[in-house]
Amino acid sequence: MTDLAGATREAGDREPKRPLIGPYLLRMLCLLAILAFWELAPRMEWVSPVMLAPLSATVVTGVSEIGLFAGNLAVTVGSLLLALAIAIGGGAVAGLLLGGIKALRETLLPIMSSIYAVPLVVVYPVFTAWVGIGAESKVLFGGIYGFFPMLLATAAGIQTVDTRYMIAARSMGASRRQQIIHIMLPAALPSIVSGVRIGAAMTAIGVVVAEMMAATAGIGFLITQNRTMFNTAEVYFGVFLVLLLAGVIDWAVRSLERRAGAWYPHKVKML
Amino acid sequence: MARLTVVAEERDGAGGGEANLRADGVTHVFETAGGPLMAVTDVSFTVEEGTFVGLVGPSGCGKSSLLQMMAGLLNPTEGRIVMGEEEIREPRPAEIGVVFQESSLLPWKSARENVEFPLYLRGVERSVREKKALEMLDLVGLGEFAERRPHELSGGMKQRVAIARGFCQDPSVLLMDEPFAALDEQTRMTLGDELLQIWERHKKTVVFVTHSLTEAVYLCDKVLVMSARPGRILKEIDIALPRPRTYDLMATETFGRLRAEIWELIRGGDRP
Ligand SMILES: Nc1ncnc2c1ncn2[C@@H]1O[C@H](COP(=O)(O)OP(=O)(O)OP(=O)(O)O)[C@@H](O)[C@H]1O
Ligand SMILES: [Mg+2]
Repeated sequence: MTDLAGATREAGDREPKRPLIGPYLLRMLCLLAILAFWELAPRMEWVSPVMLAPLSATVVTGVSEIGLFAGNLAVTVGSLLLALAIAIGGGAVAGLLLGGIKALRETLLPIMSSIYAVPLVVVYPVFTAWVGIGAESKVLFGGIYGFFPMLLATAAGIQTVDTRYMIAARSMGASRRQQIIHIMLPAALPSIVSGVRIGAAMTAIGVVVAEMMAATAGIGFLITQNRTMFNTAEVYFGVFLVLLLAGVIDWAVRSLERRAGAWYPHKVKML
Repeated sequence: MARLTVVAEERDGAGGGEANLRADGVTHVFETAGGPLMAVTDVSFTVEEGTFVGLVGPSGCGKSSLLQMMAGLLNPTEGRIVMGEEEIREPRPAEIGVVFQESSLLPWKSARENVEFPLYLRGVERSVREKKALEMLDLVGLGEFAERRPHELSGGMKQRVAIARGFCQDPSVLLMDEPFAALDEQTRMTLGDELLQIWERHKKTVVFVTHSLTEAVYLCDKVLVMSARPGRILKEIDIALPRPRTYDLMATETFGRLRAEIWELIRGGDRP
């Protein structure tokens, strides 16, 4: 190892300097700084306590009303899981069809990318008029929100499968089904995984935003309700839970990426 | 596995040119955005069973197209490709295999998995295909690298894997489209020799596309020289050099003469 490093180094160069603090430590320090700011800023009146409740107050409030928050968090998580099934499952299937079938690709794919460009939030009020403001509407809305990026990424992955793999597989006697399972899907995997990353994030946004705009339960609903009542600590505890949820999704996607990366070296980009 | 043995037996029993591969007045026209493009025109030749035949010609003259037609991956616009008695219009993995450049290895599969893939596709039992794949990897000197992925192998090693895959598929005809094009001269010579050794043991019919005239003369029994596009066969040149081939042949007068003859044809065919 030292040999390699030595070979690439110019004569006269010094040992490469190791950073004083590693990236992990640095990340933790950043997080700590943010938390400290959260606590100190309202206490020192750098910002008004109405705008930001101190961390400690937020936590105390949250813990004292833990039943309420836990109940609503469960509602949000439940809706999110259903919405993810629509977005990721539906998006993958639709993406495979649109990417793999020429006629569909040529007619529908441009329409799909146009829809993806529309900020769908603007149609949510219309949406609730049709489906109501119950759980179905946010599940559907979140699902649709994540569906398009998943579909587009999957379709792009399928379309860009190296034709040399396909020709080689055909010459080795792969049936249509074997070509899909053994060539197209694995080759498109990196793209599909990045679709999951974007799709899952968008779905979470869709669900929470839907809850904030019109809903009867859920974390988003709690945030909006408390904001109108100037319960700043409750609002921030809600925000904190949403961040936690985002963290869990991120962790799940990361472990998926790690698996895909081990399976398909050099192609899956870790974000 | 049963099927593999059957194929092998049939081949042993065949002989007498029953598995000759023939092109019969083959023309191929690609429909492109800029109008029809004639890749090859009225090509006829016979590749006798068990021989090593080279296909050379200027770039773009239709060698790959011709090979794809022989593999049943592309159909002639006119004429036909015939193997034995049967016309080839779709891939026949048990009879005709293709060795492409290294890049056709599947990056998510190990060397062994790549090599056994053609057997997997036809439903050969796991233990049988693993054994066969390892055998083939040993044959090309990569036994130790069986569990490595393509990105962990050098260009020459990847090409060996591709060749092992072709032999593992065990067709009677192997079509090779510039298999060594991406390699340096030394690796290319070594691999050429290895290929000849395997070929001499397995006696398959080989059609070998190359841009290297030295390689063509060194490896082949017969070289088909094609004209510039639209490709026609200008001449079939018999390479009457003794086998097994050795490097000192390259210094002989016959070798030089054959090489020069091919070069003259290609150069002449290139001129309008
Ligand atoms: N799928 C295709 N669609 C349209 N034109 C094609 C297609 N494949 C090949 N061609 C054209 O047909 C001609 C012959 O191509 P081919 O690949 O068979 O040549 P080649 O002899 O293998 O060339 P090279 O030595 O450079 O590999 C070329 O002019 C090429 O542009
Ligand atoms: Mg070619």
